[in-house]
Amino acid sequence: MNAMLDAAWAVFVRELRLALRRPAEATQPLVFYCVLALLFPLGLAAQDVGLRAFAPAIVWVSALLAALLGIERLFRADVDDGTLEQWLLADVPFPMLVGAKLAAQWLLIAAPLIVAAPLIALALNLQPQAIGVLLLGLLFGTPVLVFSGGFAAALTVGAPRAGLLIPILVLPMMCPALIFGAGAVRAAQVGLSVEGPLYFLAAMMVLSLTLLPWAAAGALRNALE
Amino acid sequence: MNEKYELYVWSSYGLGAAVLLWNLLLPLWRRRALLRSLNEARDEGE
Amino acid sequence: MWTWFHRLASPPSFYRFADRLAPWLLGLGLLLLAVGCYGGLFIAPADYQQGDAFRVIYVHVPAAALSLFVYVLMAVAGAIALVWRMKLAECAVVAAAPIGASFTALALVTGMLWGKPTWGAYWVWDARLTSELVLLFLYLGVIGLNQAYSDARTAARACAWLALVGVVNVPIVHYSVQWWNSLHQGSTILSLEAVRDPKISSSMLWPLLLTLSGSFAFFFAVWLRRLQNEVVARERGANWVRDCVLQAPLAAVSNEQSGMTGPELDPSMQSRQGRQRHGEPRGAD
Repeated sequence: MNAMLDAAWAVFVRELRLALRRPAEATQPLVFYCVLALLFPLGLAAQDVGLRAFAPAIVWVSALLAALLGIERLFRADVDDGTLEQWLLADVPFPMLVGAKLAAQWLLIAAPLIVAAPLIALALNLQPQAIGVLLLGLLFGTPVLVFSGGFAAALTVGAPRAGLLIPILVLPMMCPALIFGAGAVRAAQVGLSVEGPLYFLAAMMVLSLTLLPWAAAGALRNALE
Repeated sequence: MNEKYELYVWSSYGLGAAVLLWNLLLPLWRRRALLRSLNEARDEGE
Repeated sequence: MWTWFHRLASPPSFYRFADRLAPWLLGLGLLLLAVGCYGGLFIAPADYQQGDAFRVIYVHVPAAALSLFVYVLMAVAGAIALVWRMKLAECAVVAAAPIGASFTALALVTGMLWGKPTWGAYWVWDARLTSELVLLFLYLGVIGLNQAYSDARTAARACAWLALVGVVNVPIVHYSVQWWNSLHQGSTILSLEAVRDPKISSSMLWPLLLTLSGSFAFFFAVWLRRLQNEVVARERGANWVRDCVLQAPLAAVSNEQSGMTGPELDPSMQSRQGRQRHGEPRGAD
């Protein structure tokens, strides 16, 4: 049991180290997210009151797109240099290592998005009382986004031409997270109860944390055989 | 049938027929092509 | 039963089984569809609220039911393919996707054609419509993934994973009506109260049941045909393909589509294939 956790921890730390070695690349999702979210108001009339109504959708769609950015390269380097084959040979369950890698990716991609979200929400005129709900929703929802992106990357890793396929593959999985995440913020904006959608998001998070590493590991194993 | 709805109803039945036809013909064409290529492969082998 | 299942899973005997079954299913399906559509268009009385617009139901409901059913079927086949590494199940996943996608698209378009006269708009962002759209994307993902790989087995197994994960979406499609407040009318025949208190009169119901069962029979017929193609394409070098498929001249292929039960095998050939079934051809694990 301990050896398993040690191995998963090693994978987790390795992923962070690799990312920190290229800080410019690691901050790309965050920059993309801010640019995207701050471009939306420019498309509306200045001082448009509708901005506030669109804010939840803007924040969530930007987070979704930022999580997709570069996701198709997630496993490619590990396939090319043989890391994944070593993982397959290790006597630690393969899904666990894949899960550790995805968890590290969540910390790298999604955690900065959550930290930046309050600033963006303020820039989009979101009411202050809805910001807490937005953050909680992102906390529950971003694992769904990152893990389903990871699953799609695992599916297409053996097919170099399939990068364009990833948005189609992840859309069905990300849809419910978007609906409930933005729905919770909208409920908070008008003072309705936010527990229902947040519970749904939390349930989806648990579901994707437990099932998607296995599915991604199976897809990777299939592509490597 | 009421004229107001005629277009909607008939076009949906037409589209249904088109989908059936497409599903019917595609495997047939694929089979033709497969058999042709298999036959060619066999003739070359002999 | 189990041995029968095992024998069916071997490509040559499946091929012959499908040859025998598909024409009957196709004939039955087309007959039921024809009678059902005639009944729906000309015999069933107009609805007192929706007028003649409700006649779209006889196309829309079978297409929507098939779109869900085929996806579940695909996921079950995917699970079998992944757990038992059965080649026939891999083919089944790949063969079902295009058919399912076409019926999903049909359900969407006919839903729009029905929505315009009754709701006044082609498209509303209602839960069922949205989920059906998502289902279409799931199908397109499977089709695209299958074409992205050059190796047929890897492709089919990747598709099986995607179908398995995506099947979580199917209950969402089904129960979304209860989750969100919806404009879409509830399902009319498949609820328990409907049995006690029928919401649809029998003169409207029987054409629907005919088109429903007819389209399911049609689906199985074309699915078997696609499966045959997949199996032959993968086993193109095998002995049984040469004996069993190519022995039938090209002309016979078009004949059997018109209702004949396919070429009969002479006894000597059958015994030859019986021997070859166990000496599995190239590509077997």
